[in-house]
Amino acid sequence: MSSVEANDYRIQELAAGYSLGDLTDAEWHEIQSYDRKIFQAMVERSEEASACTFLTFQNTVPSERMPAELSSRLQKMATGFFADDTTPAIQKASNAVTIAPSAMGVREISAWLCMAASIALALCVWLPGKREWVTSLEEQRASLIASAPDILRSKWESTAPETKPGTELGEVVWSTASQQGFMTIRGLPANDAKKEQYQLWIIDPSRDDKPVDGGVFDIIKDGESIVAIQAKLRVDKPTVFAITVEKPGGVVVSDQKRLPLLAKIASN
Amino acid sequence: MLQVDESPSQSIQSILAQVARREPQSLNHCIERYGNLIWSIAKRYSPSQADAEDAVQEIFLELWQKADRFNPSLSAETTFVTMIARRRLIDRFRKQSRSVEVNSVENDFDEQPNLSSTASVELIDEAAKATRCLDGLVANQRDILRKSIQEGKSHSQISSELEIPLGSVKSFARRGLIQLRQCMERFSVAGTGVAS
Repeated sequence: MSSVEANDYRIQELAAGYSLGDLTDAEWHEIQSYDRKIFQAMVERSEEASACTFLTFQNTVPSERMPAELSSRLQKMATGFFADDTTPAIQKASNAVTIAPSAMGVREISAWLCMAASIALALCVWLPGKREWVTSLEEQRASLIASAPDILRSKWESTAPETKPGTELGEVVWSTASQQGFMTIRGLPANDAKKEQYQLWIIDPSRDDKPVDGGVFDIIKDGESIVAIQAKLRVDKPTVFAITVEKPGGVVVSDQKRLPLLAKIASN
Repeated sequence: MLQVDESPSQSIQSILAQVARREPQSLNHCIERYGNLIWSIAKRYSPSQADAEDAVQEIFLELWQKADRFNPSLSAETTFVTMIARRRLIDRFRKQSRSVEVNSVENDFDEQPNLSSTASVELIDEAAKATRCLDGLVANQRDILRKSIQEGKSHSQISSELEIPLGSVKSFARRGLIQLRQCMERFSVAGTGVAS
């Protein structure tokens, strides 16, 4: 097997793991080293195969009926779904989706809040006529800011000579409700991924004193980069986001010898 | 059997197309048609009944939001629905806890009728392709994929049940899915007939 074929097979293997939900932390990191569009296209094909497989197996088992109470709840949700701006159930303003609690129960509200964020952040977007993953990180970030009710924002501060002096360094945005966030980064030099990579850490004292791994990433060009945060554990009350420089693939515990950027959350 | 309640009038036209056109009754038709299917998927991938119910609500909302992105020339509507549901459930599981095992709400694997996979070819074309391709897998791969994809079991549960090392389960599952995908894609290219 040539190196190109081996690389291609590895992408297929990781896409299969993604579809089966069995990727390890190291593999999540590894994904970032592959071309995003190629990987996502392969994921989509794997997910379609998984869906067909599910349906095939499902066809051999007795039918199960959804609980009547759940069905009623869905029908209540449906009542408000097509409502326009004047209806109380759901109000849409530009890109934002806001909820009017009086129209729904707690459970429905939770579902709406969750979906408002998750729809905005969905990894794949289906377009009529072709299958593509078209949502850019910039669009995903904008959607999160527009839709998440609990968005936290903080500007990066330079803590080391890696950053270019006088540069507006960007910011981090985070939504605890959706467990999603994005970093906008300017001024960090491009890294050689074979030698070192950047790694995000999230400090959440409500968990414990160990920072949560926020994912390994590369800066591949000068100018602005947007990076999706890949928190490996749930983060509830983040107080600091810190970027360190680590060996390729990242580390489990950082010695923090090189920590070029830091963003503190003012109040939580 | 496949849990899609399909009345004659609904089968003529895509429910999701009706949702995309914001037709008043379309959402209820969507619930009627796909409720049992989505419930079945959610149960298998959720640690509790309450969690499964929350997941079903999320999935329907996502489905309605993305209804306009369904293209019947690319996949069967049921496949599209299943893809959205599985992805949402896997994401939920990953976010909730990456270390906690997911136990299906109910394990009905042992109660399944002992049907040959080729006995269920009749429904949708894509499932039929999968059926033929599943028959091309070795027994271990087929069993592991069934437990992983259809029953929503974790690899460690499968490892324990089948007494196969965890690494082998993972490897069998991934290779099996890759083979299935490639086989189904050969079907699509060929149009009809059996992929080699």
